Amino acid sequence: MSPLTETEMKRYSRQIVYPEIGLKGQEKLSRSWVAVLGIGGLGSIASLYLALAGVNLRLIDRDIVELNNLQRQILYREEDIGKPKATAAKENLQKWNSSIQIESFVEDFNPDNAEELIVGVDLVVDGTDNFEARYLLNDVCVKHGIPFMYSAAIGTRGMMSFIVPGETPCLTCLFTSPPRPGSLETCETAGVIGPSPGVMGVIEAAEAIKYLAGFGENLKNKLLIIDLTDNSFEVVRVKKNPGCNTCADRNFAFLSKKERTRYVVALCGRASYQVRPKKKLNLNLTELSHKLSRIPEIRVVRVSDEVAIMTYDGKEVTLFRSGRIILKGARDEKEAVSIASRFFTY
Amino acid sequence: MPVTVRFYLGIREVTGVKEITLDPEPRSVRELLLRLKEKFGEKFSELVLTPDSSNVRDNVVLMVNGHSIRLLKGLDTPLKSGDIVTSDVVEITETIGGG
Ligand SMILES: [Zn+2]
Repeated sequence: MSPLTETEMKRYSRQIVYPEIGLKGQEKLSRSWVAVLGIGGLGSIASLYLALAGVNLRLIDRDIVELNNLQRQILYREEDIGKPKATAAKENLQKWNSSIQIESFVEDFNPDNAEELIVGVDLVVDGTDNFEARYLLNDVCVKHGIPFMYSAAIGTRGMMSFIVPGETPCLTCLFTSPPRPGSLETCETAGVIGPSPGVMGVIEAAEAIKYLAGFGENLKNKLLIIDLTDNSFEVVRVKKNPGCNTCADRNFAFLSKKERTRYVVALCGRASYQVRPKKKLNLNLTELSHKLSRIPEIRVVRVSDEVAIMTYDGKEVTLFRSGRIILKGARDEKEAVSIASRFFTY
Repeated sequence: MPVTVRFYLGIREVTGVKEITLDPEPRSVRELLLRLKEKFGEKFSELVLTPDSSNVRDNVVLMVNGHSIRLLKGLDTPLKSGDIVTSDVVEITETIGGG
């Protein structure tokens, strides 16, 4: 007897009929867990196709849905603006497929929680928009032997590689170290058309389905480079570096304690700063915003269990239940911390 | 043996071609980049090299036979001059970070 229900057999019939998947492959897909780190343009579409295929998902994102996301992040609709992305994505995906399990984490991905958030899944899909997070993911995945995809998109272009620790080059083998913040263009500064992350997200989903069901060839030891302006899809062979600091020497610099002192980070390209408390909190946001609304400079825009959006002296402040704050329009780290400390002690 | 050099994304915008062959093969990446500068002009160097010309830019990956030169000997990475069995492939691309 197959562990699949009759409804599931019907739902997935078209991919069960596909000879390379079959019943066995579907059972594998339905048993699998994939973490999607960052549910923006890439993560939206990758997680949608994976949910439709019957894969269980762990969704991780630190941001809330904003109007300028809707041009390409297909999981969100107008009514989701102001909701944490991980929450809105889970709600919407569950409407597409109620038979899969979805876990959502409205959290910043940092050295303190990275292992906890990733360990236990079969595969990780890269939906991040920065190399800091990717290098941290690289550390976690190499340390624990979890395969993951590096994928990125901007403008009309995209890049991807399927990384299997021990078998393929890791991110350090490919790019050495994260490019200095500001040396890379971001979607905010260079722009992006929806189909670029769309194509890359679709390929990520296809890579994941092939890997989990066990057929075909993955983008291992290869770097895919695409440009939609002239429809060029090219594959560059890449090799593991025998002297790699991360995958050969197993030196996990991004997971190391040194990094743990960074409680304030600039969110690249967004003129925003994130401040997080030294210890994770569990705030009652309704109560807190009620109290805060008595402070004259603070205006409460909207409140839910998970997130409170306020303005302070004209700057937008997004406060999460865990105590994390995102400040839009702060001049520098110092100002960000000083504003954050008005809300509670960090 | 000649060396094959392939260009991708923003680098290709400046070179206007996807690939060229340099014969005779330059002895190092530094020499290769000088030859490419002669061919494609100052703009090519500006895009690929740091202002002090000591390394490739942070957002550029230059690979010799699949290995980033940052993990080899940087601009001093040798190319196998005189090797008649295999020819080197050099690939130059920008890095992409968005998502
Ligand atoms: Zn490595």
